[in-house]
Order: sequence, then structure tokens, then C-alpha cells
Amino acid sequence: MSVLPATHLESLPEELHDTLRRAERLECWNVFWSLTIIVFMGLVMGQSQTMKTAWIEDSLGLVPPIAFLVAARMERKGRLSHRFPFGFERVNGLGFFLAAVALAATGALLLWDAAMTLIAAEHATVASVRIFGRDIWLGWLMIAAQVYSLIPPLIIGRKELPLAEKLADKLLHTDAMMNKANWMTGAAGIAGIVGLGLGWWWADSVAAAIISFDILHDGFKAIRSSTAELVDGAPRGLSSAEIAEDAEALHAALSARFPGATVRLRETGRLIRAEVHGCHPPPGPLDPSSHWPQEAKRAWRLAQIGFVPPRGETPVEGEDEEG
Amino acid sequence: MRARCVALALVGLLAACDSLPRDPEHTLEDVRARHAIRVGEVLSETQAMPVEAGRLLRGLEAATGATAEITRGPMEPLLQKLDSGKLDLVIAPFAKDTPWVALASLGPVLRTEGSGEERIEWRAAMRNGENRWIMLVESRSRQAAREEGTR
Repeated sequence: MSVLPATHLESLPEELHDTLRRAERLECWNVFWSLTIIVFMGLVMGQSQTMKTAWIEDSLGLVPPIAFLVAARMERKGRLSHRFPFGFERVNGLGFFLAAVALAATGALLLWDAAMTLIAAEHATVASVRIFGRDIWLGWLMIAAQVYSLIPPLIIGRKELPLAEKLADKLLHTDAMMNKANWMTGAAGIAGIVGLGLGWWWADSVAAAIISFDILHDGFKAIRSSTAELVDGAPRGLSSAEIAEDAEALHAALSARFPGATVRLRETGRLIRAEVHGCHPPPGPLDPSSHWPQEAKRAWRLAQIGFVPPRGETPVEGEDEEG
Repeated sequence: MRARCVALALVGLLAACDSLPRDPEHTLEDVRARHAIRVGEVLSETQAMPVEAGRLLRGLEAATGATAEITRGPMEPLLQKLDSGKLDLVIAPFAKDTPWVALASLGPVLRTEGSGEERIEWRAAMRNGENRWIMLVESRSRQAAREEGTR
């Protein structure tokens, strides 16, 4: 009889522990830089719709990294217990759902706000401030804040993507997407402020609406994917709501290995669990990794294969195999 | 070659610094072309217009080459005229948490009277979004308030 791991992290290969640690460090930096951006942008925000949109997006951008850090801590520290017999591997999925809802809600709210400002033809005032004895148009400080806000998400987002791939972590991937949205927001924001400076009163709201639409689109995509996980849907891809490529390959491999049986796959956090309905397990010890159809170093993705015998038959001992 | 390109880009940027912001409804250009600043002053039986307001108007006249034309009346009609572009500026006493801030852009405080909940701030109000004009009025308002402070 195998000894069950005490925490979810212990069930993952050693190399992933280091990757997870690197991702956590990166997210700590992400939170730090995001806070500096939020403070700087907040100081120079003024009445600009674009700045308001970008500031709220940057503030909400804290949700995915904080959710990731909480989930990673639970994976590392949360022990299997009588109250939580399956551990905390789905905390990551819950964090992913929260981040997705926050993203979509922000996008919808800001799109509404920008549309209303455009319809009402409100002219945004960007006033001046006195710094070192000189009167400076606040727009220049806003542009400086936007340029500053471009840099951290551009670098951190690019560093997150390979880690998210390696960890099969949708929450981390959503954060990378959020970072992409943030630097795009910065770029659109600069255009909006320059447009406002040129006397195009609508430029600010149009830029804000474009940014909001992009946030809303990303939010909906993430909601589709995260709810699929929460309702035991088939594993979804990292960057889309379609079924993941490795899950499709696993389904095909198990269907071929157990003809006539029904194969069901679901995802718990970064792991895949398979159920083979309508057949008994093959005799002898069964290692889930031997069923993984793709490269062996990703075999940890398949955590468990369960067998459900045909109706009317009682299950035999050892019909559930943990990876 | 690269240094020359950077220098040219910097010169371009500095030129742009000077030309931004612009007014969507061309308030400052119109003031200069018309040689008149259409000013609204709020009528008050108890409060006289502060000296800082006069100093602000003189500063604006010097900066634009225009003459201030004063219209006196109650607050709301004046702010409505400001919003529709029939006035360029309204000088009035505002409460600290005034609701008029949604209808017009308020400049820096020219003078403060009273204290606590009865505190009143004299300010210039400009049409929303006319950022070049707003910047000029703000700059001259700070100057007018400073000059009074140094006396």
C-alpha cells in the first residue's frame, strides 16, 4: 500500500517545486511593482477617463497574483485532513474563478462608464500642477505614469508565460494575460491623453472604451474556462476555453486501451483525473503515468485513474489508482 | 547621426510640450481673437469681490491682450452661460464641497473667508475640458493668491 502525500505539493515532481517557488517570487515582485504603479497613477489621475480605467485595471490586476500566492501557499502548507480529505489542489481553480469574475466585472463597469461619458459628450478637464516653481500640465505627468506602468507588466508577463506552461497553471496564465492587458492599457492610455491634449475631447473616452472591451473579452474567456473546471468539465487549454490538447490525447489513449468503456476526464487545479466507466481495471499494479500519451516528464498531470464497473457489478479492490 | 536624431526628437518633444494642451472649443484662441474676456461675477449683498479676483483679471488681460468684460448675476445662470460657451470665466464664492464642480472646472483658491462649515473659497470657474485656457487661469490664479500672501 502506497503512502499518500501529506500536501498537494508533495504529489508533484521535485522540479515543479522549484518552478512553483520561482513563480511565487515573480508574483511577489508583481504585487510590489503593481502597488508602485497604483500609487503613481492615483496621484496624477485627475478627471481623465483613460487614467481612471487604467488605474482601476491596475488595481484589479492585483487579484490574480494575490490569488496565486494564496493558492500556492495552500498547496504547499495545506495538509490532507478529515475536514479536507482531498487536500487543497482546487484552491488554484477557485482563485482562477475569482480572478476571472473580477476581470469581467471590471471590463463591463468601465465599458459602461466610458460609453456614458461619450454619449453625454463630457469634456474631461486635465488641469495643471505647480512643481518646482513651474506650472506643468498634469497630462505630461499622466503620460509619464502610463510609460512607467508599461514596463513592469511587460517584463513580468513575459516571464510568467513559460512558468504557467510548465506548471499547467491557468491562474498564473490569467495573470500573464492581465499583465498583457495592463501594458496595452498603458499604450492606449498614452494615446488617449495625447488626444485629449490635442483638443480631441472624445479621444480619452474612446481609448478607455477600447481598453475596457479588451478587459471584458479576456474576463469572459477566463470565466468560461474556470467554470468548466468548477463543474467538472473536461480539462481546458491554458489560453482558451477549448479542451486541452493533452486531455484530448489522453482521452483517445484511454478509449483505445479500454474499448467499449466511457472515459471521463476532469481537472482539479493543475491535475487531470480520469474515470473509466463500464470496465474493470487491468490485473496487477497500475501506474497512471504509464497511460500518459505524451512526453513522460508531463505524466504528473494525470493524477488518478478510477474504474467504475458495469452496472450491477460490485467494484473490486484496487479499482482506484492514485498517481 | 544617432545623437542628431535624438537631439531632433528632443526638440520636437519640447515643441510639443509647449503646444499641448489645446482647447476643444478654442476658448483661449477666441479670447485672443475677440480681444475680450467674458467674465461672470456672482452678485452678493454681503460679500465684495476680493482683490485677488481683480489681480487675476489683470494677469489674464496681460497674458491674452484682451480686456475683461464683466457680467454680474446669480450663480446658476452664470454657470449655465459658462457651460454653453457664452462666458469664458465665472468668479464666485464656493463651499468646499460644492456640487458645481460637476458643471465647471474650478481653479485654485483665490481667497478663503470664514472657517469650519461656513468656510467659503473664492475661485474662478472655467468651462470643462478647455484645458489650455484652464491652465492659464490656474497659473494666474496661483500668482494672484501668492502676491496677496506676500504682502
